[in-house]
Amino acid sequence: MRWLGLMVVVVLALALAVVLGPAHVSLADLTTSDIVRSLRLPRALLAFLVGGSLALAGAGLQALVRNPLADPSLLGLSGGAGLGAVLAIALHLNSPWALPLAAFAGALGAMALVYRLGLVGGAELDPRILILAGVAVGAFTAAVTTALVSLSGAAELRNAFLWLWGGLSGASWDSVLLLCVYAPLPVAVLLAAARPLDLLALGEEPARHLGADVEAVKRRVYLAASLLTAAAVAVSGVIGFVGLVVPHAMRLLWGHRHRPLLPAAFLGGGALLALSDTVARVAVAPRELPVGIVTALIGVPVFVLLLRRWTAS
Amino acid sequence: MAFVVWDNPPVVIGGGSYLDELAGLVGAANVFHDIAAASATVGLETIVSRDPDLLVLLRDSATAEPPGFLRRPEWRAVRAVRQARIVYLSGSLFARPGPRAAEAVAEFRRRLEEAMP
Repeated sequence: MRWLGLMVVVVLALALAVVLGPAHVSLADLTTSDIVRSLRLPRALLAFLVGGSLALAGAGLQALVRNPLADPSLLGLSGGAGLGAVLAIALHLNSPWALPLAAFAGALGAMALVYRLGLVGGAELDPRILILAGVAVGAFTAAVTTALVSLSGAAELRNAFLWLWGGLSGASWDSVLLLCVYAPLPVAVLLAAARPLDLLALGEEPARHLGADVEAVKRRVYLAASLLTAAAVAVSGVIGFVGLVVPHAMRLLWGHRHRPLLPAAFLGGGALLALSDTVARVAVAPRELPVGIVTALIGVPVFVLLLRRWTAS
Repeated sequence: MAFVVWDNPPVVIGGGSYLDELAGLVGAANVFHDIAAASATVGLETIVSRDPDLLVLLRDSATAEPPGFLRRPEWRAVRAVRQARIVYLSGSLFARPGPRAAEAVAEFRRRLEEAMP
């Protein structure tokens, strides 16, 4: 019943994203319209994939660091991606794919740095140090980015901040295809970690006694969540809130077991971002809102509603 | 026509701006004249549906190479991009009103005639 409901929400979100838009396309023309085929459809799918990736990465990270506030943006990846993007613009890299590639490279650089810092205590990855390292690297890259922008004074670098706040206007079949090829591996790694993540919730020592390879799980989950987030940030900028709240909302509906929780988070995150992007495109048409505003405006009330229902029962 | 000042997200010049006024002076219609703000973020879908005959881009450097976003697949949905009807204006002459406004109008008219004979 819950799964059916979630699937209905997913299909509805995708259908609305294709049917609604600032340009008028009648239902009869839906399958032949160029706007639908080359802009709306890839954008709806990209929103779904990015939202799903962020929520799944968030669910995995919250379990890994055993902290409900963990969120893909806390890993320092967004800061690294932003620095990469601003450097690409400052250096006038003019290839059509320079911005996403530079952002991806920046995110990977930040990931490597955070991962290395997470190992400072010894051979074991310490989740608490990981989060602190993420925050530190994020703050440092944000400082360098802001310094670059404020020193350059060029209008195009100020516009780079618009990109950083996140949005799906760069969506095309190419970016959808790219994510479809790239995402399955980290997604599969995270889904396969469901059982050990359940054990990890009991604490590292008990999990070890119950037969979980705690070290391997921590590394795998961290790397898979980071790689997934890096790709999401590269194609759509920093979209907040989805990775933080969707896992909690799904936990209220599905409980703490990760076998159902992780796929539910992917579907829920995808639906939320597809829906939010539709609102962002049509609410103030012909203008467009940054999608991150809408994810918070839609997501917070839904979350509060779920929280009330949950605490009442 | 439409003034595109940024590509991701697409930012265009609206009505009530200096550039919109210049367009009016040379007899070109800004398809985003109805947007009250000087500049606004819009969807690519809106640009495609308003179907400007040409795009006007401002840039400071006179580098010969067109910006990379014109080769991105989602921008190919815009007719003016597919037909390569792009006009480049120098930022220093067109970005702010001043005593060179008359020069800007003449230059603008010349560029438009080049692009749309």
